[in-house]
Amino acid sequence: MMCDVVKRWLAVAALLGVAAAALADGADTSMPKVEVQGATHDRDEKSYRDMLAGMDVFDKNRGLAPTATLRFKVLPRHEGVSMEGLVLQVSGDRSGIPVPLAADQTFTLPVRPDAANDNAMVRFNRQAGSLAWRADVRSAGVPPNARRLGDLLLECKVAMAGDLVAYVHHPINVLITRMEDPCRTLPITMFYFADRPLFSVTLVAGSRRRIMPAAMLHGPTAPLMPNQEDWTFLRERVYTVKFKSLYEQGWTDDTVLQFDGMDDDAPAGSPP
Amino acid sequence: MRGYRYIAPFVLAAACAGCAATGNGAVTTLTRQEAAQAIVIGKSTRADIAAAFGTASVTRFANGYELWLYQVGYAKAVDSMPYVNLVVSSADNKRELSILFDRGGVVKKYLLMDQ
Repeated sequence: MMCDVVKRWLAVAALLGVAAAALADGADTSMPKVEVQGATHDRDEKSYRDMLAGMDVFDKNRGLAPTATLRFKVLPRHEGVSMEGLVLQVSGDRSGIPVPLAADQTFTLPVRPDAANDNAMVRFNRQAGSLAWRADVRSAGVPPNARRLGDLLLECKVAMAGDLVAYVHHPINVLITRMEDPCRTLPITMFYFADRPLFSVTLVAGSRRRIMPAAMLHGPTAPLMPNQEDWTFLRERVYTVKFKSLYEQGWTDDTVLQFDGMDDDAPAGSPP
Repeated sequence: MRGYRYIAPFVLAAACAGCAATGNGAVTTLTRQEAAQAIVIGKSTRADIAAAFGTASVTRFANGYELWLYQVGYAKAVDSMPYVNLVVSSADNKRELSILFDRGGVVKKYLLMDQ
């Protein structure tokens, strides 16, 4: 175990070195400042171009989830955020495209190069910081109380490319989101929301089963900067996945995460 | 590179500090039969559990439920520590006891994880 700790420490040290170098490279004071006229800064929005990039990542990684479809999803990030009457629009200086929103707050985006060239934003009629944004990748045939590992990995990749997930903007974190395929190659933790409050999660692949440790449920005990994170309000539904270690342990794309809800009658892995 | 000299001792100290069993240590050797005797779903209260296993790491939820966690290895608190949580994680623990209390403070579910 100690050897493992040392290896991880070396990995972090290397990451710190890369981060420092990147920051030094990025300190270019000759870069011109660009002021955007007429932009709306108080709405919860994401870059349309970034979200299109996320859709491209989905298409390029279809092998992870060959039967899956991609939607995007929003959830409330704070108490008091109403999910009734949400209105979504792809909005630029010269473009305004209404986007239908399903009853479960999922949506798909139209591909409109004119809007991308217009630096359009995918914008909700809610204040900035009201919503948690996620990709929603669902393969056919997965039970409602379960998720497929390959689907979740693809969600992570789309979220990284689309800059969907709120996170603490520490330089290392920013650097990680810009790296090539951090979901699969770096020991990062991605936060997901189950549909209901969770008590436990069991990994299942054929006859192989493993209960996920409690560390992977409900987020850290004391998040340091909860205002910069988007999961704390719905923490009873939160689970996290570390793809790198799971895949290294031999879990495959077809592995299923089975959820045991707090209010389910028959808990998975119940005591004898 | 100089910064690592200051960070490294902090990381190691924090990791060592988080490396212990939560509670009174009873979970370290707890069998499933002993757990079933000590924890009665629908009956055992927070006071009963505290008496049997000591102080837990507690997470309170907006729905009124409460999760008590006893871990052998790293405490879940290390997962909140910047840099430390890149090096060690309570997810590496092989044994832990999770107990869910309902809004009335009575055990609703429990799980002894041992792998």
